[in-house]
Amino acid sequence: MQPQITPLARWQRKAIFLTLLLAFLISLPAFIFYSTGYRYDFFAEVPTITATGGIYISADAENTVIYINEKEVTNARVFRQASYIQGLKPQLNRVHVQSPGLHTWVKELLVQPHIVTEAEAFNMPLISQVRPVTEFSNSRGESVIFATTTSLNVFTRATTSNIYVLATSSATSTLLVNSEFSQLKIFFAEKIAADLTRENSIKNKDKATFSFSTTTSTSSPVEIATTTKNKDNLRLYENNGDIYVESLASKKTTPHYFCTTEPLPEFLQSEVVKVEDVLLIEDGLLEDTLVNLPKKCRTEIKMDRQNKAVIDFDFYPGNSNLILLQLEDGIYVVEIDDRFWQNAQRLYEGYDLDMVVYGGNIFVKESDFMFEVLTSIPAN
Amino acid sequence: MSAPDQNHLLPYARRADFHVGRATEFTGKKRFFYRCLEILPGLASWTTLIGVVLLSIYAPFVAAYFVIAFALFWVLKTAFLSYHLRYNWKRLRHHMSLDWTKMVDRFAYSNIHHVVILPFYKEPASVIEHSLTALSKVNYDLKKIIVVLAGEERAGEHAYEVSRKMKDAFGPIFGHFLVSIHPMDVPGEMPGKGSNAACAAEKVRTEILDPGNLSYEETLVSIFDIDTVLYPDYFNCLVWHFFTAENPLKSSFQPVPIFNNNIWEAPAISRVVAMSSTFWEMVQQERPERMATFSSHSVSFKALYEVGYWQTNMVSEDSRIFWNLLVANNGKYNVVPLSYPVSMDANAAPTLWQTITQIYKQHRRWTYGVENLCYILYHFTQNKTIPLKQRIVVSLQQAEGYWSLVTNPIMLFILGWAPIYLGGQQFHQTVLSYNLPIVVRDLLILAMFGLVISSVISLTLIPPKPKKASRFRYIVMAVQWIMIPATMIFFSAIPGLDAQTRLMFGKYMGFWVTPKSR
Repeated sequence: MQPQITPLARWQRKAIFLTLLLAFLISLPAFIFYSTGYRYDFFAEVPTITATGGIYISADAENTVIYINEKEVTNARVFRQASYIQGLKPQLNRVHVQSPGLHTWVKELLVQPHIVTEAEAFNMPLISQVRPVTEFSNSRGESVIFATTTSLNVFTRATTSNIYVLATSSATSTLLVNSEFSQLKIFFAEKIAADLTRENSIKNKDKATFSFSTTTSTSSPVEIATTTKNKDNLRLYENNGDIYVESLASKKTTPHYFCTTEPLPEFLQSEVVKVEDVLLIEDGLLEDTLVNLPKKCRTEIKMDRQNKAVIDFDFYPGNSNLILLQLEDGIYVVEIDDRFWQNAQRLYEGYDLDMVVYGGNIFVKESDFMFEVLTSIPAN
Repeated sequence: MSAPDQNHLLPYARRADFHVGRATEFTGKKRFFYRCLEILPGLASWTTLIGVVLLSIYAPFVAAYFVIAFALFWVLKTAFLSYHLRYNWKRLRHHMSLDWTKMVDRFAYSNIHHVVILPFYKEPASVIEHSLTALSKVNYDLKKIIVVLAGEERAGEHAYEVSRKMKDAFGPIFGHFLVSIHPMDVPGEMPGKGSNAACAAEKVRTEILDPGNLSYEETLVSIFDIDTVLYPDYFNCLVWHFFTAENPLKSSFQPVPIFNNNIWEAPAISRVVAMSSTFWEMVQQERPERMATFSSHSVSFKALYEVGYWQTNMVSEDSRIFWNLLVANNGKYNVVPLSYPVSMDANAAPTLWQTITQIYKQHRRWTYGVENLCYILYHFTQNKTIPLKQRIVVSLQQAEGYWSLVTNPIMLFILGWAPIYLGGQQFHQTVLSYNLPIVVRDLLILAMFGLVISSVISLTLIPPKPKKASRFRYIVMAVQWIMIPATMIFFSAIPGLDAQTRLMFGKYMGFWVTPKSR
């Protein structure tokens, strides 16, 4: 009497092994081709292998929807706050990133075969969001605004979800002093003083460099920037009224938007790749091609100030691709990435403003009223 | 050597180097050669791991292709092993449902005696009592069973006291109940299970087998870890396989160790690790040509006597005895899988951290079994009587086993991402760089479906839920398998690498006894 179930027979094990080995040998090239961006078009009249590329878009805003060439992207791989869209044919693509209540970010991005084009979308609120910073708060922690404050009209151009109360008297004995207000007051005072010094310095420099028009200057153009700001290997400075961003990073770590890639070899550029080419790629040509991809990198990018005078500028807190430009009519967030154009979104509308970036937040002083400008719509 | 003379040994087993434990026991060229063999496993593993890192830096495309190929290989390997596992599970359950008493009726097995060696150290009396109680309840003539309770002198009074207590309680039940206390500080011996068991085997020979004229050929020795709880038909199953084996005296008999004595008390991490070890043994049961004996197992006394019992100078004696037997029998020795379970303890210490430490140390000891690879390779160069093909196949199988144990989990779950982080900007901007984590992750998720099989099988192997345990524990036991990637790294790859590195640098390990508590 034998146990009814015998051990796995050798032939059975061999058969399974060979089946799986065959599966490995067949599927491995398929996986590698897929991973490198090749797609097989089953529906084409003549089935072809297409070398595709991808777009990687990061967006801080929530609930963003991405459109490529006016079609909503539904098959993106989402990594935290970024989306990876693959299998795109090599061509110029118009990309929209939008979210309700926020500015729409639009960019034209060139997709190349085997390459992922990176972009950082940003979406500022359409209606400015502010948080008032008042000198006093009451015992419940609510900000107190005096009815006599002249800048109450700030809320006509912005909304705030913060609770604040309107004081009916000017008595402050029962109120608590807000240390944030005191700190900001010092910052703004220092900033105003620094601005005055800078203006005087520019005037003196102008006097010193005055000469007849026939005089030939031997010196290089004078950089008049007095406020140079550095962040993450980037330098932000003013020159002759324009704002420039300079990369101080090594070639390897230079942000991608400082560089453009030379066109790929012809056979990789074409949408349809012949099977022989694919075989060549397997032999290592793809690696050689991509590793030695010729790149042109600049060291500086000029910021688009929309033909308006720049009053102030700074890096946008927490993002190396964005800067804050205070123009005549308000504060703008502008991207450094200048592929095709630089997106600029107005963060706060107003004249005669003072701006300070402190502790990762943007503060504005308008008349005698100070507030933080929020970069997203606060959740209710 | 525990045996008094050499005449009973097989010719090859009479060699002075037959029981070599480590390179330091040699001199001259042999020492150098054996030392190279000790360096080899660690070197191979480190070279692989460092190689993947270097490849990721200097040839990220090649590294990425390799990672994809490896992940795909892993999926298919999982499918292959899952098939074996499922098959053995069916066989195991079937074997558990059989009436083995009827199955062995056709054999004249009345002359068969069973020596059950139970080595112990400082384990509490309750653990030993539990094992002996289960032994006393097997469906077999208990008078044919010779129990040897093998304590350690270095455990002090505990060994004597527990032995006396157990002999009083169980002595009359069995044919014989022998207490053996292994003396401490014997020159040339490493304190541990091997030296204790060898001492016990010799004692049972001189005090019971020889005086009783019991045939060595008809005496089966079962060496069980002290926490081993037998299922009722173990001995009938063993006898059936002994009588049906192609060459019973040239075979060891391997049950499936299921670590579920205390499975309801053990933490989830311990359950996963324990059940993974069981599953590995179940897979091996379906490919016996790759098997070596592990933990509790049985073998004829004659076979043991011909090689001088278990080695007394190394850690992993449970596997080494098989290699001793294979080499001494010129390759004509095998393991017969019983596909019948024995139950043992999962690691469970008073605190979670202690349990984790205990699991780590136990697995480091198990993976220190890599010392057997050196032994195999050494003797395969010495014993040319073993067919060349067998030597090559066994060497490659064993080498691959120890290499993959250490490198595969680390490469899959950690280094698979190395090209992305180390590949540089040129690589980073390619579709391949972006697709690599996606493809690897998807493949690993596919491989995780094998865990569903594991989860289902594990639920069928656990004992009934204690009344005080909540039903929710069943759900936990089903989903606990998601911890597998972490347990593979922390309780398989890293202890394995630790063990190989120690061997590589000649920092030889001693025998660490896993504490048992109930």
